Amino acid sequence: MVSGDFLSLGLHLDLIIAGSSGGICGAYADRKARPLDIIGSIVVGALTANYLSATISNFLGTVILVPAFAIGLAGMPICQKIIKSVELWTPFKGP
Amino acid sequence: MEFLIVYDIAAFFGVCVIMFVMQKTEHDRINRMAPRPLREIRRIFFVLTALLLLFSIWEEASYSSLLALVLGGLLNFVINAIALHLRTPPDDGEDTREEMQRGFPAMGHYISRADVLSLDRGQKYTHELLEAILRNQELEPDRAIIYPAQFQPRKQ
Repeated sequence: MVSGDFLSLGLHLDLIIAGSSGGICGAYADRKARPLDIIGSIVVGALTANYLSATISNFLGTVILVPAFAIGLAGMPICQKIIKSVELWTPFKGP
Repeated sequence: MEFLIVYDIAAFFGVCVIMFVMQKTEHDRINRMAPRPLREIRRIFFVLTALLLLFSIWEEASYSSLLALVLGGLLNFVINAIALHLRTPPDDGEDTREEMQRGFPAMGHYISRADVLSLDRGQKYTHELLEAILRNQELEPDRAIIYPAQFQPRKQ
């Protein structure tokens, strides 16, 4: 395994594989989705799992691969929610 | 070492392509000629192959990953061979593409394989017959498989 090389880029192979597996399971469940959307959800799920799993694992106190799989399953909606939250976030606005 | 990195990237790209083909196959009109259990098994095998590819990323350069790759390919070839065998229409020596293009305007309706097989050889697909089939299956015409008008199924 060449995880050392990927780690230097901030990529954890185990988390990416868990996230991709989640994306694949989601793709199997969703028959109506368009093919390109499926690819998008797998890639986004893998990357989101790579970067968010550690935080959520610490928060939930579970093994890190469990949130990685769950995030891979719902990577796209999670990213959309984060984007919406950022759009609504107004830190410098007074009360 | 560089080779292994390239392998990981290629394998991940392969996973994406497999899922793309799985979804394309699901939306393919001709694919709906295959029986429902076969379509379900084919979808499961696509997923299994993708998971085996991911496994080969984790266990690269080992016999187990080699076995996973061979198994994944074999599973897909076998299930597609069965699907092709089951849906083969009789060969009348004509180019199928031209035949279907000519038949499309004439038909434009949905008929399941079971309905096709229940028709007698030479029987015409009349408008009333097609309407009855559509009503019976509660199908929408825009979600339809279109068969060529000249298509005559093999008797079983």
